[in-house]
Amino acid sequence: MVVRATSWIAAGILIGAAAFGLSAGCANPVESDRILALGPDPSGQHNGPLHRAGQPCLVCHTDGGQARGFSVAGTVYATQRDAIAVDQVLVTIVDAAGHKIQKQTNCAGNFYVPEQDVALTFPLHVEIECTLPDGTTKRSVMGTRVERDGSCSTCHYGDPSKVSPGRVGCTIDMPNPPFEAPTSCTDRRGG
Amino acid sequence: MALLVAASVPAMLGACLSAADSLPTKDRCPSAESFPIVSQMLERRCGTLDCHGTPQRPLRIYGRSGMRLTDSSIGGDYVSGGMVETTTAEQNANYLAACGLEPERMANVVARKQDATSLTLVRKPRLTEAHKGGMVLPVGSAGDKCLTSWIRGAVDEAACAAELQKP
Repeated sequence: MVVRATSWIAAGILIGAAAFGLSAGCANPVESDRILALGPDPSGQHNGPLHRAGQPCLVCHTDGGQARGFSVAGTVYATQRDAIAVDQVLVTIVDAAGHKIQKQTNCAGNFYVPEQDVALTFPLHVEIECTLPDGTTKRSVMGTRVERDGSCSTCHYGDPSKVSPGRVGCTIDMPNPPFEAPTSCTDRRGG
Repeated sequence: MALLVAASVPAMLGACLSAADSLPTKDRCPSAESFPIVSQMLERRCGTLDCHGTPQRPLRIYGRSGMRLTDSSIGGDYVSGGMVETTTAEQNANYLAACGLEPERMANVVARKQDATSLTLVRKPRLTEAHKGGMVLPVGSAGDKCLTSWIRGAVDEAACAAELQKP
């Protein structure tokens, strides 16, 4: 009886090890490297709607990825050069099949479209509508289509450069009165 | 080994062509003179930053709304999405990219030994060959006519303009 129990345990260990080996072997090293390259979240936020603002969300939030899949996700800032998150920006996305999705940013500037909400067909048309500090609204339409990558910050990161138009910004220049950084941010909307 | 090294040198040089290099001759590549409007179409349809407007992907396409070519002589707002229009150097780089994708086959197409539809440059956006970006220029679409007419020697400018009118 002891021998039989031992062999069952040994078999279990073997199967477990094999399953671990298979799963490790099947991981996509490119995706793993991209996740590792993100490093720790500079905001210090725990996983959730407020975390990793300005980072390419779909590195993890993708079909078969390490987190719930998103079709599109990103962060909206005051301007392309000022990393001040803007709350309650209306993000409108129209896909190639005519689906229209609207989301509002949270206090981290983040918004996201869960895959379970709608399967979007690329390319996408995107526009944002911000309420400026003086109370007026400003609508900005993206100059190109989103052809294949649902993470805004794959292209929109840092200040404008040869390879990026800069952050997704409500305005090109800081308005007067200027946007101000939120003093606290705990509202977990965005999706 | 020596042969391998000798063979790899021209291959490496070929992979490092820049806008400063001379453009392909007329028997190797379709007209450079009629390419600018084709370049505009490629910039719009292929050269977004999430597709071929990135140095990490083959067929690099440069332009105002995508990736910019490094050129220290241009100051000001010479950034992606900035106010500086696509430069001649960027158009030339796009021309090199279009003809350098399959240089031998392109030369055969120019010499009418093969049809334009044999080119990866045409087959990928038509999705008659696997393409991560999907069907960007369906067969017979304005953009497809723009590209194939240029390759065949007489660019259909109306088709190019029609494609550029699309959102």
